[in-house]
Amino acid sequence: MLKNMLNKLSLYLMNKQLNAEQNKNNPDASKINEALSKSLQTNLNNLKTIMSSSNDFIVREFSLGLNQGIHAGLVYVDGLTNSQTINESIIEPLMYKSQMVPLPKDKNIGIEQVMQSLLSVGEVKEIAQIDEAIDAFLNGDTVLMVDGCPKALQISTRGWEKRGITEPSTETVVKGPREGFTESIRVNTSLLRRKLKNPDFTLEALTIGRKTRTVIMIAYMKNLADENIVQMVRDRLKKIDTDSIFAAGYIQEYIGDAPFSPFPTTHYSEKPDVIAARLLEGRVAVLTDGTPFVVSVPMFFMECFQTGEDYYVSYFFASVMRVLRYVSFGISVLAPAIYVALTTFHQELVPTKLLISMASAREGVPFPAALEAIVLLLAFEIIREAGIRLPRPVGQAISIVGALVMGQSAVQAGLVGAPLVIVVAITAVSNFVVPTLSDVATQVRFLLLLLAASMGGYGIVIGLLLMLVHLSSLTSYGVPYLSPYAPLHPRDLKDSFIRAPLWMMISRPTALAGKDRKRRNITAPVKDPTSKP
Amino acid sequence: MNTHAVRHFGIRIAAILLSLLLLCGCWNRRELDTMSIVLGCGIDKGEKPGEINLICQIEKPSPAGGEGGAGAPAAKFLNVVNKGTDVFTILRDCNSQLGRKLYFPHNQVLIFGEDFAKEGIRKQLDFFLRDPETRMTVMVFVAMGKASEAMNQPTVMEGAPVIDIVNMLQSQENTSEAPQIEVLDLLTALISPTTSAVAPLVSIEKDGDKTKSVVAGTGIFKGDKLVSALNGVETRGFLWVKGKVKSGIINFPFMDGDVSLEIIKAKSKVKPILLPDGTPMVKVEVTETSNLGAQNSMIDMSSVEMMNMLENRSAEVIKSEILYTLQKTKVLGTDIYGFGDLFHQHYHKEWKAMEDKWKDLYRDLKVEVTVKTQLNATGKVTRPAYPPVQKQG
Amino acid sequence: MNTAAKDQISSRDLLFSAAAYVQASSLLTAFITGTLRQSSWVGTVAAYALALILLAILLFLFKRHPGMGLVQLNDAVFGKVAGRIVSFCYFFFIFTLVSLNIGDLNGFLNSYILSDTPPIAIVVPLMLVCVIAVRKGIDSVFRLGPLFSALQIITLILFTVMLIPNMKPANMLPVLDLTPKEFWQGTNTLYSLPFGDLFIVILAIPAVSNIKNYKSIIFKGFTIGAVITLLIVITDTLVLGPLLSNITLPRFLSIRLINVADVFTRMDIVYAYVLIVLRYFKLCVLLYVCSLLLAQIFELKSYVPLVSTLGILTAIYSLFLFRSGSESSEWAANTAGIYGTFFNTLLPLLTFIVYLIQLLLKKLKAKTS
Repeated sequence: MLKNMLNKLSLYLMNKQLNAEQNKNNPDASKINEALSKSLQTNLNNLKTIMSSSNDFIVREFSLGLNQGIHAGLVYVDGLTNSQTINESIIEPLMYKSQMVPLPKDKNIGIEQVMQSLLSVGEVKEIAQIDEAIDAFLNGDTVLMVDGCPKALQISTRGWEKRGITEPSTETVVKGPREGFTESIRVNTSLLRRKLKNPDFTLEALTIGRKTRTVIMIAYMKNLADENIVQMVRDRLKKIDTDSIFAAGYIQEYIGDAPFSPFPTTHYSEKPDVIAARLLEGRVAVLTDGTPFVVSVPMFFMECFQTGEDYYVSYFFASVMRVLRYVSFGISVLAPAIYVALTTFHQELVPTKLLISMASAREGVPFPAALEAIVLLLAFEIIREAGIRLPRPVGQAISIVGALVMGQSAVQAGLVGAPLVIVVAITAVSNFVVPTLSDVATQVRFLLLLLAASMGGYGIVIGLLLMLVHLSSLTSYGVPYLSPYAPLHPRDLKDSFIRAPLWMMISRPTALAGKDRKRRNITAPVKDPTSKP
Repeated sequence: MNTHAVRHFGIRIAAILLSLLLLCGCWNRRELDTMSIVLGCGIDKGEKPGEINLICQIEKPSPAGGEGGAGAPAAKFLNVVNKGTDVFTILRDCNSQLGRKLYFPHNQVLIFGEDFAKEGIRKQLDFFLRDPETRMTVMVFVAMGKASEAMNQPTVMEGAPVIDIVNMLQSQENTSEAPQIEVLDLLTALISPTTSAVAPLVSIEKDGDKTKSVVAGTGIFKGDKLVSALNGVETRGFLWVKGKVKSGIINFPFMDGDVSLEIIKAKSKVKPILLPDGTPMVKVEVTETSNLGAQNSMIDMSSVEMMNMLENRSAEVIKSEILYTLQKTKVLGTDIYGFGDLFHQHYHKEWKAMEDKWKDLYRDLKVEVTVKTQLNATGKVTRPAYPPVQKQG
Repeated sequence: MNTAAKDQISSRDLLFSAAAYVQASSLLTAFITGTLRQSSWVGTVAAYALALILLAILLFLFKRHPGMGLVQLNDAVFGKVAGRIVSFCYFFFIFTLVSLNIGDLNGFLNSYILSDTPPIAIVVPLMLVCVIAVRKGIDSVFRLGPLFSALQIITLILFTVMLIPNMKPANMLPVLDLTPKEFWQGTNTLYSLPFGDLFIVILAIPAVSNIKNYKSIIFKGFTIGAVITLLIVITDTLVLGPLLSNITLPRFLSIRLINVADVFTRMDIVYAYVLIVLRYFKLCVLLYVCSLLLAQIFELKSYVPLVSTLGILTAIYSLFLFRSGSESSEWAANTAGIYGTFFNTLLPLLTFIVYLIQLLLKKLKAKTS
């Protein structure tokens, strides 16, 4: 009780101190709530000061109208804009064609309308605040200001270098679309639009991150998604108060349900077809500018074992593969623990001949089985981590040296027993069958190994029960995590550990939404009319 | 979720779990190289009265290493012999002798020496029944002679002699000359007030100047004392009634030669009947199927008439085997078939009166044996390898 | 729309949870096979019938007092002071029930699987998991009910199939070779402890679901659990026959005998695992109801702080409840029947009778006034 109070108190004080420091040191530029002034020069000078006259901040002053009577100024950031649009669609018509258009006598009113009729650009918006203007050109738009006019025009001229649409490296498929999201959010929304040509597909934009001002978009299908879940997503995103959002991982952590759980409660994917399918099930997706990973919620545990490809190959094979993934996850989590439990506590469960050969393998090995297992698992993690960081040419050598030579020599030197090396190898390989859970598996594996080393099979049972308790109480946006297993929905089991034929999966997941449950009509596969009845 | 509360709770849980790990010391932990795996046990009568010799056959693994892919190293065995008054104290001595604790769950065989079995096995059997480590599927044998010798014979195939013995017992299915008795069966027979326990026999035969162990025949107990034995053929008579004959060869002279029939399968149905005057009667019905295995005569046996004659003849042979064994047990007064229990199950009200008199009732028990045989096939050839001869007579 | 019902349990989940609750005791049938021997299955059927009657009484009482828990019911029938005393009796019964269940599991694990481990190291981790689970919300425990139930049903079918070579139909006889005293004793034991405490599940229902008429659900779940127990008893009888009265844990022994093609040997670990998992489920429900009752008796706002305390107390209590395993078996075979019957039959019966008398008095009053 006392500790609890002390904890709360210390965090509260720390927070307060940081806030005070922050407000003293740098007043946030984006919090300026001033309006644009009527004078062009004032505006331009303000903006130059705020941008510290950065090298890529371009200010272009020119005159419009007959006799070049009206002064205007254009600000944009070089590198974020499509210079062709600026030159051809903004500057050229304004500078040249404006001479042919009669300008209103009263310069304050109507100048924007005239501008808008001259500009041959698609998206034009009026803005009146300085922070809106800053937001505009920092995002690649051009801001047009006219002397004597308190409003400015935000013209869409975005265009920058970006990675082209390529096959995502983390989710390769054999038989499905190979497009992947890129770092530009507009490209991503376009990819989704092309999959969901439906007016119900809604996009809501937010800006998050004090310093990075990253654009986040919430995507959902209006009449399919549960409005409560959408509202929850909005609320949680609005609550994010941080400096930077660089990657989807940040969003996942902030809007995920159980920050202390090793299990992921938000799903991410790099492929538009996966996200589109999930939107059609009634889920909500969050797109982040600057990262090709799109987060979608809510998430079920069984989704960790699904891949997009399951739906493109034959259902029987897909079902077998699903079951295989569950089994592999089980092996990667339980194998070392079971081995240790069997050899140190429950030798009566091993067939006699196997026991004799295992006993001979362990003669002369100095360490207890549990310690061996921990050391070997650690060694595997080291090799794996090193393998990721190594440059490609060196990687091959390390894998050969590390895995084969070290393993072989260790066995021959009598430091570890051969069966254990095999167990660890199988564990390692099956770890990667379910990539979403590979980090989870590592943690759970160690926990189970420690429990098995102290209490044998009973320890494993306790560990599994703990995991089960944790999983069954986890909810992702109000939906139980273990659906459709734990609140048993037999209708949804068709897509869990098996993949039923597409024509059988006629309803959307029960746990997600209730509005439009019917996915498709049941139609049995078409019979060949020429075959005999 | 309140992150402070969660963290607090999480810390508490972690502390408890960690302390659990630290203080446990893993009581039940046994490393493989601290145990000696017992493969078989034998009990012999000791020199002093009231003493027994306990022989434990332990598998002795050779350390691995060296060539990695040479296959499983050949396991040697070790017989540890100790004397004492009862099994449990002897086991402690064994442990101190070896420096490793004996490990029983993989014990496969329990052999009683002949002298020891004649004096009663109940007292020493108790350890094997009670201890949670031992299992009830252990095979029981009685050795003709000393159990220690039976466990020490040079092996034919496998590493340890006891495994050899088990394998031999299992291959007995081919000849049906020894019953397969587990401790469970022994226990069931011992707690029954009327049934006599049986166990297969292991004997040592000389083969030139080498000796080898042979599994054949049955030992019969009265109560828990060994009283008699049945040879191979008599055992088969016993197994016919129990319905445990799986395979075998029936040999008999027929016409001008000998015929061997190979038993394919056999079933038996035993029904206890209480006659109106209160005498018990047992009806045994044996159904057997066989193939023509070999014949030593010139006659073509493949005609239906011949097959029928063969069937009848083989039925007579089987019946005589059964009756012979039955008579022998009647004389001994040992109900090895469990007929008494059958009456207990089907006529339990009348059984209370019959139970004490069962020994006498068994001696005069009317047993009606019917055997039905069927000859299925004659193999690859129909006629023997003789030029065709006219059927005589 | 399932939003509002997201924390609630569906009726199917509830059904199988009730079944899992009964199944939790089905593996330790040793206490009746000792007395009833080969007629254990008859005793099982008889116990089932008796328990149905008890359930009917309780369900009737609850139906007449909608929205009330046990404590409120007792208050309404007996008046505040006597009602609290009666509720406290129930609480005490459930408290010892938790310790008994832990003790059973402890005994089994200590004698067969982990023989050198001091019992406290077995009890503490399991209790810890139960406490965590109950604190997180009993509904997540109920969600797993069908899973555990299905697990046991599947393993049961597998084991039965694998035991077919070991079964001898003649082992079912002799039937009813018992004195009436033995028969009633065995039936009473089975009825009072494993079957009779199904009413505790009824007490847990209000927290986990909105289902109003759970009568048929409870009956169906109970029937499933009873059928499983019956199957287990019959299988054991078929395999072991006359040995049944000799063996301390017949189910365990039967499973140890499984030897299919030398591949499926030594399946006892599966048995142990299923036992632990089912017991955990039952312990969670018991612990929850225990805390709930205590909280309601003393009118506390929430039962959550009581859970860990009660968990620790019951764990320690289970350690010195019996001096030895044999004392526990003897108590279970002889005394448990009467002890349990007092709480789960006599008390409800008393409540029922008093309630009827009250009704009668009210009717008389209405007539006269």
